[in-house]
Amino acid sequence: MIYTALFLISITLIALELIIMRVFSVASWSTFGSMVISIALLGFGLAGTILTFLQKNVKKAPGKWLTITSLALTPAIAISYILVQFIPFNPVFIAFEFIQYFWLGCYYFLYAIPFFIGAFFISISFIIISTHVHKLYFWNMLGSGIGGILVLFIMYLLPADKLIYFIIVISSAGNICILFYRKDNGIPAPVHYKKILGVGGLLFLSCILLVFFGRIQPSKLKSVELDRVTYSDFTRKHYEYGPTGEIEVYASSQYHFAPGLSDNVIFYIDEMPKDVFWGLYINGDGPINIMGNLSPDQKQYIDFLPMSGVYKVLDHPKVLLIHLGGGFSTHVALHNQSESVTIVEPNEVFVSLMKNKKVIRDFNNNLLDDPRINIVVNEPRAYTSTSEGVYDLVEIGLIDSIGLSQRVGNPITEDYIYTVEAIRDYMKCLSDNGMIAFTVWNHIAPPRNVPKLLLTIIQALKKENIRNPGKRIFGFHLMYSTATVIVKKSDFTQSEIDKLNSFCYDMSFDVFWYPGMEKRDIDFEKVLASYRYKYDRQSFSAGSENLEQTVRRDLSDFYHSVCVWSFEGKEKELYKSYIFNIKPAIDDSPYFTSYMKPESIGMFLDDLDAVSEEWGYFLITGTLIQSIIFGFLIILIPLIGCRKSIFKQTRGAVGVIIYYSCLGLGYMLIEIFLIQRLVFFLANPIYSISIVITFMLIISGLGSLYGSRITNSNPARTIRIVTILIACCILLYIFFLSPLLDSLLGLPFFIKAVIAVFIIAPLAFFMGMPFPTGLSELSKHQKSLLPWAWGMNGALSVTGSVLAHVITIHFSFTILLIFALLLYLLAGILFKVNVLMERTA
Amino acid sequence: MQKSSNIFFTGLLCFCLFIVLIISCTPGKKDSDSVQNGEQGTDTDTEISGKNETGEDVPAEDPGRVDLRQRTEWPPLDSKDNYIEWMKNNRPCSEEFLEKRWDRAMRIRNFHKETPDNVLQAFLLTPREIFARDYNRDVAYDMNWHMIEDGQTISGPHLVCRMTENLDIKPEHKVLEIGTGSGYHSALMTQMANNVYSIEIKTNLYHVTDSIYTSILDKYPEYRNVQRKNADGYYGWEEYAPFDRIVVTCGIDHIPPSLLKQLTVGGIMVIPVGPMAGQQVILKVTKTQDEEGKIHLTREDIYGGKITEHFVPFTKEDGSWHSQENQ
Repeated sequence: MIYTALFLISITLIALELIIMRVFSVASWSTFGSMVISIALLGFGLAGTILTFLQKNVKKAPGKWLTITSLALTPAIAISYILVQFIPFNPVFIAFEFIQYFWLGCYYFLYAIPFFIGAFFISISFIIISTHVHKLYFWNMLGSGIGGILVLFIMYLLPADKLIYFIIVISSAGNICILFYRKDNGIPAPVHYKKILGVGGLLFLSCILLVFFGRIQPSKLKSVELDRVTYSDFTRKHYEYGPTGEIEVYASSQYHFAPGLSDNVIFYIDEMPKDVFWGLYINGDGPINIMGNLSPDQKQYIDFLPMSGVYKVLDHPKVLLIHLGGGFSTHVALHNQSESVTIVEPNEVFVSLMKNKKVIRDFNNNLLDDPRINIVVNEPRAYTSTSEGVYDLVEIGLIDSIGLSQRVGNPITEDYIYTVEAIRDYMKCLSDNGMIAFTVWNHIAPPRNVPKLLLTIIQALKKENIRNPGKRIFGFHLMYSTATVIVKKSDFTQSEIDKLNSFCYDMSFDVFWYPGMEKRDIDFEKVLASYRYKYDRQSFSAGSENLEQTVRRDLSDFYHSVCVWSFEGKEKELYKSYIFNIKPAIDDSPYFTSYMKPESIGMFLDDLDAVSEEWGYFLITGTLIQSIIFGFLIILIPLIGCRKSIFKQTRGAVGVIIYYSCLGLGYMLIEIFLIQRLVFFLANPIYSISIVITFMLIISGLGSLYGSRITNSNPARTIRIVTILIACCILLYIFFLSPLLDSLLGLPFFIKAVIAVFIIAPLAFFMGMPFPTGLSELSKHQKSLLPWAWGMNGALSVTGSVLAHVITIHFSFTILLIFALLLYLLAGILFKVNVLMERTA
Repeated sequence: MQKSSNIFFTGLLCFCLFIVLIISCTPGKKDSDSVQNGEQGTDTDTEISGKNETGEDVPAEDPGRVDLRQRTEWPPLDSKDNYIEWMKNNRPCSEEFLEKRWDRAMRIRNFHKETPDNVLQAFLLTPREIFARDYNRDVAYDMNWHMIEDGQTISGPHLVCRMTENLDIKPEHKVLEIGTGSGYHSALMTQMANNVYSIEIKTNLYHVTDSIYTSILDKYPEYRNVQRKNADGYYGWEEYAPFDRIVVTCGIDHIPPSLLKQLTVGGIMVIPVGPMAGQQVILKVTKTQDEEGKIHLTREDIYGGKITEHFVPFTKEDGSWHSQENQ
């Protein structure tokens, strides 16, 4: 029964983690959710530490302790969840109001409670059944793995504010199982109806409390809440929920979308279209515009949008649109007489919404039923890699209208749309004279995203061995609105250049590069220096005072100079001189929106407002720092508290610290790597993460079970071999995984899912052995250290998950893997410390 | 056997509870439901207006209306004491805030030495504390923005002055403001132009600000020159167009063509532009005509391309908050 209870509690804890993230997404911002959850999960580490002190008491009556912790879990979940809803934490004020740190601390504390109790339960299990660590570890991993995928399906059935009920039901089931376990006298206990009723009572009470007080309180600063008070005729037209999130569609006559609209529209059009936009919100963020049915007269305004420019040089093109969004680009393509429009959209929820929901179909006049339109539900890269030479135009127009423009700044997430390899893929699916058109926001000062896009494009062209990339690029922008870059597979003809220039002239768009453009007389070094001077005056010598005033910072000149320097091969100089990271994004480090350089952080400390858009970067860095601090505290507390009584000598203790730290960090680095790489490969964001996590954990659990059989005779030797096998697997990943995945990208989802499991399996299987084997040995020789080692592993796992992101942002996946490889090798060498403790004690 | 039945009974109990919970939250799931929030927006003029002899729009039958061209006395800028003395003699004012107002004005000038005298004088004449709300009145002259109703803010004094400076307002100008908000910016511009028109989209905010204006008309007759309505400012105010100056105080992803049309040749518009729900930069748009009769629209960054401004700043429901300085 204890294994079943452990299995259910493991489901509870993993489900709680995922559900807290969902609640954060709906109530405020998911990125802060990840920050909170990373600390709350340190409750695992804390449980191990506390148990280190309490283990004598626990050993006296383990059944009692198990029952108490188990029974405490359900009400703890309900109460902490309820209390959290009343915390007036406001993430957007965290940089300015000290009280917000206090509220954030309350989040940490309250959410850590259920994790602490659940982890305490698991720790006790390890102490009680220390002879079957491998088996316990298997059930723990199995529960965690199944919990992840179970939550995914529950999200189809329940909205965000009801998901908590699922958790407390599972938790209560775990409670009941533990009632049947009493090992105090070695005999299974008889069934106690009163206790079962007690568990039912706790469940009932928790439900009642949640019904009355557990309602999610969304922040009034969420876009949907702000728009609700702004637009007087704000009317909800559609609502649904699922793993993608809470999706709402609102109508209002006061939505006005026309990104990058030329000011010259006033000379040609009497009136802008009215009542033709709805707003789509995901978890309250947005709006993404949904365009309704436009009359021919109303459609005229599309001609004045920057996305229309590329159609001036394409005659009835076959178009591939990357992402469906609200259908805006589709309207532009159809309006411009495209022969066919293929839309590749990875999220089937959007497709279903736009294509199948009657209320939306009525609004957009069955737009997607147009015979010219073909919708493909797939990851764009997976699709483009299998569509060679088909399209005249690949259009990527403001698809990141949320991503690059959140109120809370640039989130740093993997993005495989804007990488060097992605652009090369798009090139492959173009016909001989085909073009790619990017339109992005152009509103960040000092400029970041447009220069980075230009450098990524030019780098891709160079990788294609194109000698003169300048002949294949046409770029224009409208000041602080949008920038558009058109890339042609062959050289632009003079006629095309003339037509595009004419379009830009008519629209008053500022052309910053076209083939044959003369190099402007700009002292770009001085411009770059002026940006450094603005934020880092101390590093400049006397006499530089006029640097800021005398330099004219013009966006068009800046973009022009970026092109020129890159064509001239001076990219490295540019990367070095500019205050932001504008190196091209690559698949090995696919973070287009990561603009901060670690060496530049210092210069912005006095003026954080200047880099407020880089909030995502500071969040990840802050999360890493806090998890390291808390992690170290958890590790060190037992050392400081009862060093003499627990550790007879220090040498072995240091080894134990390093061994379990290596395993905690190493496992998470590999897990995060596999999630990031395979989610892109599987091309279905909703299911991919669950598949990767579930199979990884379950296979590791199986590895643990198998490890119990093979490690009995000579565990040190076995683990050394296992770690060498792990290192070999990692080396195979480093050299062969990317080419393998790229070559299989176009296969159907189910086949790719099976391949992904086979890719995960060997490594996950071996990675499941060192930790339980270490615990098993430790329990034989120095049992008192068992909970501490378990907690340490938990704490370092949290740090590892954040560290993995930081490493890939600043370096690459390859560096991440090398680091993980070294950690496992080190663990292999240090395994003997688990045995060493006894010999030297 | 007994053990098995217990497990079955308990499992059944949990399952039933779970099913009940699912059923209880199922109605309405994934259904289209039209929930009307709020009322339909109605255009509400607060003043009835007419035309004067020169064809200029003026609030009709309003004897208290002030013609700024007749104003000869302006607050002195030479010293704090002189300013306070002048204000006591010439204006209804709360002495408590005069010193703060002067100090802030001098900081504005110190920070941006090109701030024109007429902007500073308008700032010194405008009782910002009246337009701030009770919960942030004491910090009304701090340089940061403050929260008001419906997630909106009263912009920081430096930003208001910089935007006003870029508008280059003259007394004879007709000025249109999109986004009345707290009413402070329109009040300040009323010290510089005879005709100020202001539109607010949020009904509740419109009424709150309207009540503030109404309550101080006797003390400050120049505010009779402000005409206000509750409507979507995207379409401007056709009835009184064209306008010499337009200031937009809420973000949008493009410059509304209706506003550009309602701007006179030679006119200036100051507007924050950027993605919806994102960050905006403040543009100065100038409409000119060349010798051949062609109209030109020019965009400039009011900070010379140096600064990104959070124009619709993050707001909270009550109380003030302390941001870094808006430059």
